[in-house]
Amino acid sequence: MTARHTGAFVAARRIGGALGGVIVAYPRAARWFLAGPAALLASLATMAAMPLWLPAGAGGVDDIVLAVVLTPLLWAVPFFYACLEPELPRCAAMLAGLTLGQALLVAVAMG
Amino acid sequence: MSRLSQAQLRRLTAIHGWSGITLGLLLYTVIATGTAAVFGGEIGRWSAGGIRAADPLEVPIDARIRAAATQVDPAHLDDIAIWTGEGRDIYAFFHTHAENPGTGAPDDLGTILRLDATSGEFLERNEGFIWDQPAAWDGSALRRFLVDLHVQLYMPTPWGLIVTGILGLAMMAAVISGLLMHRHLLRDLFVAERPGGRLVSARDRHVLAASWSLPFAFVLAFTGSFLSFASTVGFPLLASIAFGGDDEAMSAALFEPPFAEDATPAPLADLDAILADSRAQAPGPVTFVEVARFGRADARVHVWHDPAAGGVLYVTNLYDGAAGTFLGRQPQVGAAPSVGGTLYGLMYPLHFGHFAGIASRTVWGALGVALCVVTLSGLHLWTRRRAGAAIWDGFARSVDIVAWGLPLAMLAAAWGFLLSAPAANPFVWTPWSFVAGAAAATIVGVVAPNRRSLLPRYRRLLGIACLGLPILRLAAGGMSWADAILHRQPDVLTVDILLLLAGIWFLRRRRRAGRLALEAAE
Repeated sequence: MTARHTGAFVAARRIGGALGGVIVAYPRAARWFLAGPAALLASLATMAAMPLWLPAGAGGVDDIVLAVVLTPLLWAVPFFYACLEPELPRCAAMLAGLTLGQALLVAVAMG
Repeated sequence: MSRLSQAQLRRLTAIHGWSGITLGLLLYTVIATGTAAVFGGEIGRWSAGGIRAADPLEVPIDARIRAAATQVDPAHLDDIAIWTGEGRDIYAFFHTHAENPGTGAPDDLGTILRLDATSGEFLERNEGFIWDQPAAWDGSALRRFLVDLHVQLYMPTPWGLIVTGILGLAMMAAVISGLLMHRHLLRDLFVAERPGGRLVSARDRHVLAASWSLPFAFVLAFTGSFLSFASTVGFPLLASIAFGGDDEAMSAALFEPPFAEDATPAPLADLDAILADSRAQAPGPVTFVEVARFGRADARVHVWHDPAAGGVLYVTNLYDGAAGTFLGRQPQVGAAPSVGGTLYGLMYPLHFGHFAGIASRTVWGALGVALCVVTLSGLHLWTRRRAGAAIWDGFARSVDIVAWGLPLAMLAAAWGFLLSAPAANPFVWTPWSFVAGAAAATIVGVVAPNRRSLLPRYRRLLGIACLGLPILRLAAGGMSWADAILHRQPDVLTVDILLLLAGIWFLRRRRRAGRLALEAAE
């Protein structure tokens, strides 16, 4: 790993730590944010990325059709996860990873 | 469900309660109008139908369509869409594709003709971007208004669809949170409402109705939010990701089977032979016919059928338009049957409930009424628990006003339609009549001295509105009962009788409530 990579990793850990501190300090606001905008962003990122990792199926369109048909579940799963997960920092990490990972996939595919 | 912690149960209770309180009245509006929309066909034929001995697409139409094609601008002869009206009329929409200047999006531009399928007489003609003109393609302004109120709360596209999509998600959140909160689901299926009109009685009523309608509520919430978000969020987002923003390319990939392009002029095959063959291949009734690339060697004819008895999915048969040969069953989406295609195909019949004719629609209608009871009983439960606080007492009265005022306004819309149809534009007066009915119901609710006096007043108004509708329909020149019986048109008779029974029931309940109040006073 180069020094640049190490520096980015350290910076990410510091940001993550700071965010974790904010979440622990303001749990109610954090829960609202995670169950609201964060869950919505996670569902949109998942819907957008599904054509990239879902197989097209026999009809050649499952990757698109399933992303649209499953829209309600794509929202409900992160929403209820954010509502029920007892560990808020873990919830934040999961939703952030899901959203950023899939957004990155989309950005790379469109770039 | 019993493994949830106290904190989790508290959060679920908050989700369940607040999703209901903030959006419950709008949700009730969508559910109630949806219950009416299940019977949209019957409402259409009752309000604007004529005598029909057979389905208009069951009689020969080939000659009618060819004659109609000679009456339209040749530039509009790219595609033809054909569907039935409320009587023995059919609509034939000859169109091409162009950018709609009003929306900036690709749209269908052409000439729509309404014909008597039996005699071939031209009944009506309209031109332009037809889908912007409901009066051009829907014979019943009443049915159109009720469906539009359900689909997008009569708001402009796409905002209305986004709102109803959010309501669908809220309903799903209420269903899932209610299910997770339930400690004794099986026992609650058989809970008897405790007497005395106490708070626990209200809870029992809510829990009983909710428990039985749980699966239905989930299916409706899921399919409803899919239907709302598919065209406003889902497909546009995926078109930009997977097709570089080209909506037409995505539409072609999903819904149009691949074909070898051949613009050589070729006459269309006999439509009657195609429809007869399609009916032999798929027993369900024909609902829609589309001719793509009319007059070319690569023309295609799609024939849509409602689900046959015992089936759930729509059937679409594909024919070579020039040769008339059967090319196979067309999946709802994609080039071949698939998991995604099957799920997509299930969304519409599961939401509309018409996969088993009147039987399934009756069940869907009854469950729709049950969901209305669930929504309203939940709102009542919330406000009763907080009775005494001014804001919640005021909200409780609002719930009563909307609960009774919405059906009253829907009946007022029917009155407005029947009064305006003979001599004015029912597409204008039907929605305004709804507004007038809603305003009247609001005034009645606001000026009533207390909530106990609200119910008898609303029941009297509902009783009069129901009883008057069949009389008004007949006075406005609608089909008589003699004709309905003689020509076997059950829809008109059924709706009239149901309205009369409902009217009598409302007035008898009101008199009985008044008598009970008198006895209690004595």
